Amino acid sequence: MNAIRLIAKGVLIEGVRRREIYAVVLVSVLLIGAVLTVDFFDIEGIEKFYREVALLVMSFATAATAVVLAARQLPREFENRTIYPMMARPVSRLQFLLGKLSGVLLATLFCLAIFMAVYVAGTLWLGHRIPWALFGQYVFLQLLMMTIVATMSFWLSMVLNLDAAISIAAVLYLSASVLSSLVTYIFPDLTTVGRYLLTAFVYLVPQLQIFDLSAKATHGTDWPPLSLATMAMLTAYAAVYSSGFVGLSLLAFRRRSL
Amino acid sequence: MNGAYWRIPSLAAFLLLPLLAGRVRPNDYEASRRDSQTAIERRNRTAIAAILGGVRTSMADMMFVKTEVYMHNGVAYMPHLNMDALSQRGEVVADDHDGHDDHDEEAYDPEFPPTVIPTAGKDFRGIVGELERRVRPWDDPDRPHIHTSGIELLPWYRMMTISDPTNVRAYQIGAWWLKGPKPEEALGFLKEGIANNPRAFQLPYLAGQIAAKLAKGENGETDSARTAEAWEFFDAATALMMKERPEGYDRDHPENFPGWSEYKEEDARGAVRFAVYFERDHGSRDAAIEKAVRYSEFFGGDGVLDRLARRLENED
Amino acid sequence: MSSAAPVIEVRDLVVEYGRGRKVHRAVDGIGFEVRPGECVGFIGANGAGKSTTMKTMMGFLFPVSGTARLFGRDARDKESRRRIGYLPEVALYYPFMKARELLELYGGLSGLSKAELRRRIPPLLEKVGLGGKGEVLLKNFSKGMQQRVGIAQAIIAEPELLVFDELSSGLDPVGRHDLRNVLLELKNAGRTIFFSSHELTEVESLCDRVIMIHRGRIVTEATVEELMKPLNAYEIVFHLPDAAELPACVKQCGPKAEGRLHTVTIPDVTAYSRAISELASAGAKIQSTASKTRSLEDYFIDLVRSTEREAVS
Repeated sequence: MNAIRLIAKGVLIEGVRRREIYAVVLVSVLLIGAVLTVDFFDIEGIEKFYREVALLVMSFATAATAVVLAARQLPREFENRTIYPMMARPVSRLQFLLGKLSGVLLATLFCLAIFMAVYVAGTLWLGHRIPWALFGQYVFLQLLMMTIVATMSFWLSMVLNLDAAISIAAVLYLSASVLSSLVTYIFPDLTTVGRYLLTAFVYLVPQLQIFDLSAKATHGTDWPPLSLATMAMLTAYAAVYSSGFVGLSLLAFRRRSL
Repeated sequence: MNGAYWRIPSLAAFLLLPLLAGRVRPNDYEASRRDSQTAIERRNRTAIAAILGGVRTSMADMMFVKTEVYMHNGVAYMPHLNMDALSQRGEVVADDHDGHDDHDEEAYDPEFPPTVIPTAGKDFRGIVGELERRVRPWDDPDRPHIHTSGIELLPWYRMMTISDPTNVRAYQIGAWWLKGPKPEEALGFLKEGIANNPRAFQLPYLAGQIAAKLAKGENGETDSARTAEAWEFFDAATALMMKERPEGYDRDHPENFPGWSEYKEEDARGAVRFAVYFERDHGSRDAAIEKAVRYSEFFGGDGVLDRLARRLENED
Repeated sequence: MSSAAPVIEVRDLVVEYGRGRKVHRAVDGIGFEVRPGECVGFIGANGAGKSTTMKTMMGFLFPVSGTARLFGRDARDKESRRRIGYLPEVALYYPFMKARELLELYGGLSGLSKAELRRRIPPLLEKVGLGGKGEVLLKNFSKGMQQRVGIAQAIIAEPELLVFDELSSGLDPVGRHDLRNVLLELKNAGRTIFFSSHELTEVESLCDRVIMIHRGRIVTEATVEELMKPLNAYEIVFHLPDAAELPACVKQCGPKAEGRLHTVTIPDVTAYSRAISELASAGAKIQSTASKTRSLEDYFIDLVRSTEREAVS
């Protein structure tokens, strides 16, 4: 555990000190601010629009941080040769992987925390209400989604190059809800083989849209929070896919020449 | 990585530019509505046009879909354009309502449109579908759905017209929602739309309606300047409509007239009907009858206008 | 050489890169041992297989055949790694970490407690020439400073075996001097040191033994004395009268003649004295004598070139 903690701490230090996170926060705040400066006819009742834009920008920025941070961990270790002094110590490859992933998740959590603090401050400043229960669930589900995204990016960076890993993870993240609509729409028109393939796709590729509570958080006042059973199912889903990606990463890394 | 630090603010500046530079002022009404070339050049000179190019239209279309989602409290229903395909597959039963025109909106039951996330019975995804229905806004499509306040949609229409100043429907619908709480702003919004779309008769038509409403004071008095403005808008709308409507337009075969949608036809008839009512209320009865007869002939017969002409003739 | 169990034990090691037709054999059946307390230099030209051998030894690469054992255990065994300090070839340490944090990370991974780390880090940084730089971010370190911090991370846990790949890479002359002192201190403290370097003077001055590798094969393995012995030579240039005959001890050294002027290189000082005396007896007129001591570098270059020639022929 100590090795995992130390490696994770190293990644977190790096994540926290990189200026990109703050630049992304600044860009997000500027974007949201710029959107709000547009003359909306001086009307009341644009809470939903603000929530939508803010949550969208912040979710993208958090996902971008998680994807990039996770995907570049291993390639950077090789590129800078820092993997050698690390692996020359009494650290197993599993510990190394778990340490790196834990660090990425902590850095993502840090990033998410900053964004949410900005969001809450902005909301209160505008005098809007926050549906706290839904908002809390939204943050938790974002973290679950980021866990899947990060572990997937990490695995992809092992089997592909860095750019390809980032691109695929980003496309899967960005197109999650579109893909979901698409598969349900085209399913009835497919042949039996096509239907099997599509079903396999749905179960093999993590369906990130099921963690996206942003729409309900946006239209919050009219939607009740999710039940505990639903939250538990989503946690289990995230655990299964994240473990799967960690397992695949370990398989790829276990016998890999450094 | 050092270079990346500068790339991010640069990207931010790039993204912010269109929002700031492309910001339009609703009250900047220019008397350029008859000069379409000027209008086209004016909107094509904006930063957003230069940066986004053709993408701006797609962005505006995406925002249009967004307004439908907002209107249904976040629940995504199948956009109308999918209805034909669904009807062919038997998932939606075409329902020709009595007394309604036969166009796309009536190709399915508007009270019960299918949701983008299907019902459990139609979803092959099992647990994934179930979780999606629980997490994302979803309502049983077999139950009547709720419409939210149109005020919440207004920022999207504003963004849509910034993104694509040629989106006439965004000006039209946005102003329609806005005219209740903020009629002056609605009129300003429409004037901006007219400047950007000098050939769109729907905008002066709606602007005329709003000006007519504003002309009526709270205590029954009439604002003559507003009334004159309304006249001007109705005249402009009617003249544009008569110029733009294809000759020999056949309502039974709208597919033969791709430049003139059924929506446009409805708006065109609405525009002249309203102009006749306005003539009746603010002008003379005879002129109103004359207009009703003339416009009905123009459309090759219009039941509402014919009835209105007859009623006016029978009035003392 | 000590008779104790070897610290490093490499047997018939074969390592290949690539697959199918593009396979490249980087290490071709080498074997050697390093005993406790020895300081062994591992030298060879670029691409000779030094780093590959060291990485395989450390368990980073998987050999096609053969074994590499450290402290009698598999190279990937955690127990053996607890006793090793490794310096990779030109690493760029985490740019957003401070030097102290980096040493805390590596020291912590080696099992040192926080208190122990707090005690060890300041003098260690001082030792490698980075005194007072503990709180500086590594991105602000020069290449030489990175190498110094690399050396610090390798020795922080005071390991029994030090494996350094390209020891003095990136260091300026002062840095090399400081490093030599550090290594001498470690050597005197009884640590086992195995390192590769292109700085053969460093190898000459520090090592007990040298292993030379070329094209994945060991071409020489000897103590420094054994290696240096044939490198010390004496040249005699002399005139030999027509009637006189070359003394046997000179003849066997292969003299070269240009008319009556002969040049001969004598390998050691005893033979040299004897040759002078016999040439004088034979009536030769000695024109000049010179000490022709060659460096390990000369030897290495000659060896590489002769191996290349053999390969071509």
